[in-house]
Amino acid sequence: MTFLWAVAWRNLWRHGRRSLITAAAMAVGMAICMAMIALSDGMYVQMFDVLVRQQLGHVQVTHPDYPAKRSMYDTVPEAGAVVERIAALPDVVAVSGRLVGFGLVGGASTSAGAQLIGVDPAREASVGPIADRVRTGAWLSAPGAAEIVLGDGLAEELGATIGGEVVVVTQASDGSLGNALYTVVGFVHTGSSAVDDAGAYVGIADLQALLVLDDQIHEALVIGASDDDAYIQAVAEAVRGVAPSALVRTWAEASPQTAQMIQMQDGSAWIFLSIVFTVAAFGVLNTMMMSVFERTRELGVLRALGMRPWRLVVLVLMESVMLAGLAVAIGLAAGGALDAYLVTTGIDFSGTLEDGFEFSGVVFDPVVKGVVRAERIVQASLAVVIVAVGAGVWPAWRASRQDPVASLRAD
Amino acid sequence: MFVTFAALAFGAPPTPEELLAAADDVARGDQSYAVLSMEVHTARYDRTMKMEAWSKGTETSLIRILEPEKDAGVATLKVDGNIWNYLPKVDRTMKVPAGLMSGSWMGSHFSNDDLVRENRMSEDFTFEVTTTPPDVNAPTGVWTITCVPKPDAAVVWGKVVVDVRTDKVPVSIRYFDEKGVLMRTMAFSDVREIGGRLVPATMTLTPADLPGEQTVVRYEELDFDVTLDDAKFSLQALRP
Repeated sequence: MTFLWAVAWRNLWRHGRRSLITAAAMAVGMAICMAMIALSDGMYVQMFDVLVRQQLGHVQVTHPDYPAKRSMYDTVPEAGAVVERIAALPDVVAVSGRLVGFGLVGGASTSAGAQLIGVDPAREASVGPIADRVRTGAWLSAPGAAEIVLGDGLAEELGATIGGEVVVVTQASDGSLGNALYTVVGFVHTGSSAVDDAGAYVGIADLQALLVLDDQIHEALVIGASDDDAYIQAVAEAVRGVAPSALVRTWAEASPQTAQMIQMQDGSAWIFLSIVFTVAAFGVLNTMMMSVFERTRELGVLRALGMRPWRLVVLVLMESVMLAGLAVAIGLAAGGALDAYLVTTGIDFSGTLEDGFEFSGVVFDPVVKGVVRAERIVQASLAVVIVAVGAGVWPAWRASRQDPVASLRAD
Repeated sequence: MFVTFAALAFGAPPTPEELLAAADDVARGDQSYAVLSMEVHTARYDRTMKMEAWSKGTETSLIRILEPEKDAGVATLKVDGNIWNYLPKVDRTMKVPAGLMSGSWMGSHFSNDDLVRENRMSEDFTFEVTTTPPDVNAPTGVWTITCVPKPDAAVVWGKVVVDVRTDKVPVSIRYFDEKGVLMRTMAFSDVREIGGRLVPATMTLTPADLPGEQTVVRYEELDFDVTLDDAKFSLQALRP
């Protein structure tokens, strides 16, 4: 076998330039693939982070009718105790109960309708990056401190200032005209236009008092220790155990369209992969076919000298594997360099998309950074080898099937 | 709106225009002071409020909540199609923005729009008498007048059917959508003579799509013999 490897290696360099060009073509394909995969995985991670972890949470807890009707009255009762019980579950990293209301927020001279999101400041900051999204001022300090954090667009519309006061008026659950005065402590920019332009965060105790919905929430978001589907299912099951009367759904159940989009994003890498490797396969096929045709006489001599047909097959396949190995080596070097750039610097799409791209009201960061996963690189390398060997099969089979006598007569 | 349905004088045998005008806003041009109670019954809550209202013509009115204690002092000022609410708890006055005009007023089945919308059925609608009372001279004979909005009128209804007595006391107003489906009914009852006028002292608004829900407004006091200064209807006057 060692002998065959040596022969295959020499054969490869009998047309060194041709082999190198073929290997280089495959290497470029592989490097581009690695970059595309890193970018695609980076987008996937960003998408999952923004759409799932920040928007939906791994698991959602609501009143059974709330997702469909969004009625103010469809609340989870005894919310404090429910949230405590969920927080105590071993696989739950963070949980935050939210109460949502709609009201009129009045600044010094103007007023605007806004969605009011009542949260426990510490818990809300533990499920998502909300505290880091406060651009000016500070995040809420306590659930009942009569403070408000305005979306930055809303703040601008109202002409609100940090430390100033705004009036919030709403129709409470008992039909009364709920109204309260809150101190503006911060402006937040979440990337979600619904929140930034027409949303405000207030302490949950304040909102419960304003809406006359004591100890009630509309939804609780639960974050588990892993993004894995099966794991999240298990977390949802555990949450069901401590909140039996509520509707408990995983993020994919709560938002099938997000699940679909994320799945598509995950699958898109394979489309690129297959295109690039189809091209590469034809390159290898071409090179190996030429090399077999050129050596018709030589291979005939080998057969005439008593070489078994299957050894000829092995020989030609070995040449394919070596060519692929060469391609992988160059590809890894080039792709590694591209990946390193993508991971550290990323690609800035802000030139084409001014504010990043938006999906269902969520704005993504215009700078996409690559995410490199070892198994993806192994997959790409293996794909190159498999494609090369696959493309070598036909020429190898042809070589072994030549009639030695006819081959010797060929020039 | 509450006050404008209030009173009317006896007249000669009525024409449809006169009857409609009576149902529209019989107190137009009048000044009035009223103490009203409002009962709101919904699937979610029942509440009873007491309020006083001053009105001058149909364009200006001021309503101040007296009870319950939680809402006491809340005042609504209506001037030229705009509404401001004064909130004593936070000592602020807020104008209701256009986007929220369709919202409920004080948790009732009346919207803010209902307070300010002043469609004149005799002007914005084409109308015909669809039922005539057997005796056109009997004061309590009921006329049914069907009103269809003119194409360019800013009216949300497809059809409005008014039942009004010969003595110009409205009996009911039924509001239909474009498809002819009944949306809500305003019924007038408890007719009394106040200040020489016949006034239905109770108005019941029943939304057709919310079974069991209604808002009932009753006049407890009604005085047409008042003189109100325009300053009464200013933002300053909103604060007590």
